Amino acid sequence: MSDNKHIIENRLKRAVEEATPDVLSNVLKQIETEQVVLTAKTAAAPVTDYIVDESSEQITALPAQRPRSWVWFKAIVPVAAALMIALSFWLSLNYSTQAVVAFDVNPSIELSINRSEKILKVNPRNSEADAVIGDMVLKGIDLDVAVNALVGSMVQKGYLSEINNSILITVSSEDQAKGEQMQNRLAGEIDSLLRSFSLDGAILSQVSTEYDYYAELAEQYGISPGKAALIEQLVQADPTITYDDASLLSINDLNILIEARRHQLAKVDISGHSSTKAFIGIEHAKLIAFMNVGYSGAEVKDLKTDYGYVDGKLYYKIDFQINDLFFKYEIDAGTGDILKVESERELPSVTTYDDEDKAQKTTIASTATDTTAATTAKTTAKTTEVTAAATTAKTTDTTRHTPSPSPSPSPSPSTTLSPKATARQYIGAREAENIAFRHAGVNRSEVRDLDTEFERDDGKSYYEVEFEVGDTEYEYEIDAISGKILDYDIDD
Amino acid sequence: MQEIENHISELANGDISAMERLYARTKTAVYGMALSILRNSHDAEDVMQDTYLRVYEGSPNYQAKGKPMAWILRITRNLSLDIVRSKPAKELPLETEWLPDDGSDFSESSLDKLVLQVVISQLDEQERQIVMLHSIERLKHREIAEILEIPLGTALSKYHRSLTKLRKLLEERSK
Repeated sequence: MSDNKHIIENRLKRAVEEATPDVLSNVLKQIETEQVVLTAKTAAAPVTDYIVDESSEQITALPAQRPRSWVWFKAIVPVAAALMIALSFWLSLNYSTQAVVAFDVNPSIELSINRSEKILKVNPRNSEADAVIGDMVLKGIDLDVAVNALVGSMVQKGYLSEINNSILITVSSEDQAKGEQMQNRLAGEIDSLLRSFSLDGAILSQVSTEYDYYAELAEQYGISPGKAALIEQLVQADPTITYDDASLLSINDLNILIEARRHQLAKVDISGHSSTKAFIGIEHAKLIAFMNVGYSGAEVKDLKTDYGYVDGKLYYKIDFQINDLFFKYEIDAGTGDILKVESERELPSVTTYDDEDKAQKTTIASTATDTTAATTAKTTAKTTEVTAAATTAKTTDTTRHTPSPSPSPSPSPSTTLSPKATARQYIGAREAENIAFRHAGVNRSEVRDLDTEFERDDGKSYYEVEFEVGDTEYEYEIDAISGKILDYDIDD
Repeated sequence: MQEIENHISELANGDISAMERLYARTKTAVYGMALSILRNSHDAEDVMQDTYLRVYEGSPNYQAKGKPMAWILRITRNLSLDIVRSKPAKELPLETEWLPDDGSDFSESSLDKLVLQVVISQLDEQERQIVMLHSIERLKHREIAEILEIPLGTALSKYHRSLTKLRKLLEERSK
């Protein structure tokens, strides 16, 4: 495409050059006329005669005014010139930038290197990059050593972790072949490095021959040129994604989108898989949606799931049909909060009746393909029943929910439950982790091997949060509704 | 760009010979811009002439900000849009005289003309302007966005869409 692009552009330029008419003489005539008119009107200073080239007279007079040169000066000129050439050659080898290598996670760091792959300049593009670099002096050292140090620091400071394992490497070089060589080598080195930290990394790598172009784009969106190049590929592959939205997402989130939508980006090599461990998982999100409606997965038809994004955060999009009702749910991928609900008809209200005859019962089968969903919904169905009244109204209902940071109380069996109240039953995996971290007195950035799972046992929903800090292993069970710590174990 | 700024400054100081240098340096971009909006050579030529007169008249008031090309092309664009607004669409015929007579002529010059013809006939007005400015003047997308008063993202995506479209159309025609 790049070659074709230049060929097309050059052809167009030549064609317009060829077609451009010569209007200069007309322009000059009109200017002359205008000047005569102006002179007559104002009787101002005489108009400059543009035919007389005064500047050329000045130039020809210059040599006569120059002072005489000394003889010795003439003698050293060739020597000085030779020295200058040698010096500029040496400078070009050692001090001119041959490539810019950029690393994006969320910290975004650019390293300018010379032909010998020594660092000429370090450019931290955000405050996280400053934190990663810290006191390190990278100027003058080998690229490989710097990469080792920077990636190590990113892992140590928690920017690269099990929940955020994607890193983008961009080699900007005018020499495509050399750039590709470096791209492959660095991708391999970083992969090995991450493995040495027991991390399964996802490595995206690319070569860019148009640094200035992407730098311009990057400036507009407050991102790095490397990320801009990645986003441009993604936007071209998926027109539903815009620069504005994509620039707010982390590299890991962009990678999640690329994987989920199975995009093939021609200029980006991807190895490994992006981590979704910070998310509640699509199965859990489906469960939340089904429970919110009051059905199990058994009656669900045309189930479609995808990721959406808003304000730099991913959410699950879950579309499905039950009987004649069409539902569209947006569920926060991190917390499980319902962000938005749309139904083609009015959402069913979930009510508990004392007298079974007053309500039209809905049977919930337990043979759903989604076992977790079916089991949970069946339990719920013991205390709630779904009215069919909603199926009569032919209106679209859209509800945008504002997630609440505090856990909502468990619904009382005797109250009418709105979809909103049911949706907030679960605090979400991330909040459960935060509760565990607070109790343990640790920061998320210190945590390793974090593993959070949603569990149900005897009708009780809880999150099992396991992680390690230093040599200590922690294990928590957090009530999925109240956020209360049900049990914990600390093993030194 | 400094060179163009110097020519404008010389013009403002009454050095009319600077017009020749300014014209030589900018004529293709000015004509390309006019053509991309008007789509016929006659009107584009008129606009081209008026552009240089406006530049001459405006040179004493021009404030050097390092973007002389943007200033000149904005004049060209405004004059072109004045013509578009003053004439009903039917009076702005699409001109195809630069087309090779038939498909048999594959000389370099004919292929160049074919690209121009496809640009003029197949791209929309904004796409034409973006592609012309980028191809002829090698303006940065940010500068193009400023001249056309559109967001940078729009300029970028339209540019890439246009180039992809052109590539496909040219491939089809060469079959």
